[in-house]
Amino acid sequence: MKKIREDDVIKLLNELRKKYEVIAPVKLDGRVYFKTLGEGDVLTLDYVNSVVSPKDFFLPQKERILEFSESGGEVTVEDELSSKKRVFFGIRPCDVNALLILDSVAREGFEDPYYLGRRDNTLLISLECVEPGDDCFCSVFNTGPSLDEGADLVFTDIGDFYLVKSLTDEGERLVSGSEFFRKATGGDEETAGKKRKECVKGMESLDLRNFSVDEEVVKEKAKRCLYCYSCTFICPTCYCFDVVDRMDLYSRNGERMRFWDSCMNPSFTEMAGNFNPRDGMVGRFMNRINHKLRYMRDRYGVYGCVGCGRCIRNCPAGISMLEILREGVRK
Amino acid sequence: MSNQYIPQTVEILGILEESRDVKTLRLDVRNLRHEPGQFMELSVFGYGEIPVSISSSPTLEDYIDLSVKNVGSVTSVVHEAEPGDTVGVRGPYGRGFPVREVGGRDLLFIGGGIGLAPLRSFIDYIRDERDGFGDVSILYGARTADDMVFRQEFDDWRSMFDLHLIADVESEGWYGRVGFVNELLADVSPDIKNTYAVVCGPSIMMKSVVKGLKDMQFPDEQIILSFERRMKCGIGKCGHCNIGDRYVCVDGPVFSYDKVRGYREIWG
Ligand SMILES: Cc1cc2nc3c(=O)[nH]c(=O)nc-3n(C[C@H](O)[C@H](O)[C@H](O)COP(=O)(O)OP(=O)(O)OC[C@H]3O[C@@H](n4cnc5c(N)ncnc54)[C@H](O)[C@@H]3O)c2cc1C
Ligand code: SF4
Ligand code: FES
Repeated sequence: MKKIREDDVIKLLNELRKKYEVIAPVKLDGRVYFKTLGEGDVLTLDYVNSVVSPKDFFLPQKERILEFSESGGEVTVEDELSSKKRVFFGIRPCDVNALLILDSVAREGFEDPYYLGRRDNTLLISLECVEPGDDCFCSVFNTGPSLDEGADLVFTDIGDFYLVKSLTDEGERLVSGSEFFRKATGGDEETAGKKRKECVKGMESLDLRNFSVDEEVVKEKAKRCLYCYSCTFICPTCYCFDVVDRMDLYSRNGERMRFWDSCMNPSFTEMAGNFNPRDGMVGRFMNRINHKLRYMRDRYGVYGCVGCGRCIRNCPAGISMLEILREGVRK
Repeated sequence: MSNQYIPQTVEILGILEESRDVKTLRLDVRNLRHEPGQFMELSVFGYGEIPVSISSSPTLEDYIDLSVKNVGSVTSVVHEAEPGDTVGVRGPYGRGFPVREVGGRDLLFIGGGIGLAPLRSFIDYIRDERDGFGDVSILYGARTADDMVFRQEFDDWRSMFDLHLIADVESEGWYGRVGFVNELLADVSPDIKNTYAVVCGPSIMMKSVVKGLKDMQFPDEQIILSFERRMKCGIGKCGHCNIGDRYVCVDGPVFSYDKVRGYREIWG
């Protein structure tokens, strides 16, 4: 195992910027966001997690999926696939696990080339958590605070240094090709292990084998929902999207865009003839919870929640996913 | 990696007026070899993309038919199209009717309104492969006689199959039955053991038909339903069309009743 001095992390990222687009955490207005580093951006290493989840860099809030032009009755269609090589630094273990969940959706049956193209072109350097944030509960799903698969490199804060573990060949190459890494000692590994254990202790533990969605509990919470859709937009595992065409009526050139959509939006399931198979706020809320805690597990074999706590921190009605889990566990 | 989001551009060979608000686009798509019950994503560039059942039989190799009811923004632009125009298509998508599984058996088709579109693909397939199937009855209802689609085929169907029609409300020149399509179940006496019922129509109609079929003692496995849900991608990515952990676009739109019975929201 290797380690890197805290001061050298920024140097490493600057080095990487020569070859890659580097995405890393920066502070904007006191809040932390992931951003493609440009001149003048200041990296922060002091954060629990970003407000908006990293999925934006893989399944963007808005993206063009094709362009078309119409001339003389001919329609030509062109797709846009990105092939930029990127390094994503600082992604938390819960969010890496969220990407693994998005992968299972993108890979099942027909593949989603836009998302998977970005995934394949992006190296992940994950930063393990040594202290849980308010409302974090990755311990419940085992999606953190430590990480054993899904990223190329995993960094753990051990004081003046980060312990560095490579999980893939590409990660290994990155480490061996750089002067900033040095050999870690057994003591370093021990420190990291202790910190991880401490972090887990600071979070809830639930036995999910005894869990089932308690619909009565969920219904009660649903009544408080204010329809702001925030939970779905900031969630790292929500993948639903809408597709919209735009065309310039003069040039007859246009584009097909996709946007994040929210199952909390009444028109999400609306059909012709005013028929809506999922009517009412309770029905939509119930679907969101069931989707994450039942349907995803039954279909893809993984829970659709990684315990990042974003939806709890940002819900104006104080609705808590953790409470739903806690109250669904049979005593 | 192939990109399923990219439509193929095709020419409209012809347009057939089916009823006052349904038109069939005959498209230059050859040798598609779809399963009856599958659908295409139809693009009108600049306006959007919608899922539409393939209403022609896979035995016809020189074109496919998509029959579209004018209900909103994309479908109204579809209705303005003319032969020679270009549209986009991708597909076929979804799981169609279990054609092989029901081979040799009797079939009872029950359709409501534009719901006859996917059934027609299967019915015309049986017409062309007549020896492969047993007796066929078709029960079809629409709001008025003028709303009935594929009327030009009715004579053909009558010559080979047992066809019963019903209109929700009376209209001039209609001397047939008036009422809902589930009432037509009383007119047939299928050999339940040997019959599959194949149903497509508005949700409320399917619900009452399923009830009727259950009253007749049809086993759930022999009730084949084609569902409609709002769809965006058609390929299991956009999350719009779920019924429980199933996606109607890839696991359906055709399901036997036993496969969906337990889910909330199946009828809405
Ligand atoms: C598997 C499948 C097969 C279908 N086959 C046929 C067919 O053979 N013939 C046919 O006429 N129609 C068919 N439909 C329905 C057709 O897709 C919708 O009528 C169409 O998408 C409406 O588009 P619009 O832009 O004209 O309507 P909009 O202007 O978008 O909306 C009008 C109304 O239609 C609803 N709507 C929008 N998108 C959909 C959608 N994807 N599915 C259902 N309702 C929607 C809206 O919520 C609104 O209430 C099928 C739908 C599915 C899911
Ligand atoms: S805690 Fe909330 S935002 Fe985070 S993964 Fe779970 S459902 Fe999504
Ligand atoms: S239509 Fe997108 S998931 Fe079914």
